[in-house]
Amino acid sequence: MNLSASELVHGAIAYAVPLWLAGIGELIGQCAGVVNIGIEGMMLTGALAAWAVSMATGSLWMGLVAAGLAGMLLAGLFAIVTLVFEADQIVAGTALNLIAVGATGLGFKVCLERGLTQSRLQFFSPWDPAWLPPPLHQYGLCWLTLALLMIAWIIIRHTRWGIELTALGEHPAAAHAVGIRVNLRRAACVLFGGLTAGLAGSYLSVMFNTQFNPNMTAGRGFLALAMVVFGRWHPAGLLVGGVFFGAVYWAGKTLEISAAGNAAASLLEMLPYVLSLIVLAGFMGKTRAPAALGQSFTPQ
Amino acid sequence: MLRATIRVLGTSLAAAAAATIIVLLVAALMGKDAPGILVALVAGPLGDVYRFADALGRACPLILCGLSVAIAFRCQAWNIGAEGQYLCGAMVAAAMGTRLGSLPGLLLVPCILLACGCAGAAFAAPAAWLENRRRVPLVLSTILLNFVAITLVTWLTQGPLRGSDPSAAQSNPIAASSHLPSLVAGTDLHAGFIVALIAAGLTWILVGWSTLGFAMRICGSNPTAAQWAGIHVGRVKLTAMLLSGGLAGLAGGVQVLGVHHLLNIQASEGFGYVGIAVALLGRLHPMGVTVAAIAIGMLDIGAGYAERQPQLGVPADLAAIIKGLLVICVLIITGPRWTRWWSRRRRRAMTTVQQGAPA
Repeated sequence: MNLSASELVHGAIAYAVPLWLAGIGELIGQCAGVVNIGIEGMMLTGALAAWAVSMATGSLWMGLVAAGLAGMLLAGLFAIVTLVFEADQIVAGTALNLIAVGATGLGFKVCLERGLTQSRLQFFSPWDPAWLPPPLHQYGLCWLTLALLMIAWIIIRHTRWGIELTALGEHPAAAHAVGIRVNLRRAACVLFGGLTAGLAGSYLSVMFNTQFNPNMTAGRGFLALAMVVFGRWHPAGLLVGGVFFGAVYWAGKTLEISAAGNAAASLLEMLPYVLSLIVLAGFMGKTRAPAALGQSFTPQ
Repeated sequence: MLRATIRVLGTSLAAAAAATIIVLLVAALMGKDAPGILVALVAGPLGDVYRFADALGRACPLILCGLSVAIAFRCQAWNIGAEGQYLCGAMVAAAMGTRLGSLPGLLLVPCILLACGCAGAAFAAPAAWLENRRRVPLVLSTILLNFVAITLVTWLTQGPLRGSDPSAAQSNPIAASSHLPSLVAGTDLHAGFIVALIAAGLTWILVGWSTLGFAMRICGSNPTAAQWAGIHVGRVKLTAMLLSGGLAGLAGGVQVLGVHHLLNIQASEGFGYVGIAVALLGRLHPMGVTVAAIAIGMLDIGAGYAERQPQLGVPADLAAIIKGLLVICVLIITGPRWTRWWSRRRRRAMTTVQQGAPA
């Protein structure tokens, strides 16, 4: 077995990208006071959309667009139910996951029936100029994600938009009083969350892996949700959490492959979930969620 | 009372109808034979006694999972972990069923079911503890525990419980003495259905007529008032979570002993998540949950039947989409916005009547 630091860093970042990407959308939504636990479903739908549309059109770029749109479609449904009809956000999120499981199962079967193949697809390759150290030879989406994290950080902490965003999550009535259209802004945040979750799914199906399978998100969306919470609703927390869990995923997978045939190795897949529970237990006492998180707002 | 029941029934029926119509409309837009699909969905469970029995058998884990979710949701303990608790029950049932086959069935089956319930409750306990002591939201901890349970099933079926069939990651079949007897030969309707009905009855008594049920309702509608009334909110929620986990665990046990007769990674088919749809459609009431579970069971059988009609060309995944939309529709119809609009309309209608009366 050969665990080098370079491979560890490369693996950690590669596994972290979908967590970061899905996490940043969820973080912005939660800062605005909307908790969407349908993130897993949006990722899965995005993954299928990217794969299927890439194969159907022959263009991976079209696939990426489709992934974003698919995520936003589900997010739009969520926004209508929770923001227009003011329904419970947790339950609406689980409904999103149910729909996604059915829709991707159905879509996957349709793809197989139509005999779509990926043989003529030219998949993306990681960006690897000679001057970049090998651990950073990542897909372009990785750099886009990191840029997004930085931009989100600056916006949330240092701009008027960010302060208004915080107001939406802390005291929507106050935001309403100064003329902010609370539910419209919240809807925009939810849609952004759908976009990033869909793209995170596409990373799984056309970059990191080059095919779709029905359970491929395997709880990553929920892990991203947990990361937002113990990252204390801060992009920096998300950044650190992503690297940590990316490393855990990579180490688990590497150990599992090297111990192939040993049934106990499959227990390693449990690692990210157990660890995140432990981290949550350790950190939660010191954090405070946005005060209006999960509450709907009715303008008077 | 009667009027309230009718209204509740009406909203659930409206939601179910809306979800089905949306799916059929989408199917029609995709060029499928929508009326044909509707006929298949109905004829599936109702066209044949055996398939109806299958639908009741299918409803069995759904009733128990629905009750599990309903009990937790009633006091706003957001247990999304029925799936994991179900899998725990299934694991215990498979382990005991394969190892203790020498015991007589009349002793073995109740023992296994009891153990399954305890396993489910034990799996819900850490989540309840984490919320109580460490303020970790139940939503998060229960979801994460689901994935822990899935990994445990993978491990058991590849390791300690791995059966003699080298090509499949599954346990050996459980001993015949641990099977739940079939009620209609050749179908999935087994004695577990009676267990589920008894559980529903007991839950009804618990939530409707016991002090604990009352405390749960208060904790759900107004935790602050409950606190002031001297109700220990944390303890009530903990109890509800344990009961919820127990019911989900029981569902897993019943399904393994009654239908699957072995453990593999397909032990659940997402029953824990569908339990959320069942609980909402049944409006968190044990009797409502039972009816809703039977309806969803019929939907599953209907979708399976539709899949087997080659001219329709629709996969059974249709059912999952309908279930998800069902939740959305129930949420919309019972949500504050719709309720406000509805009551305003009624009030306006009533004032019109009153104003018109003296003239």
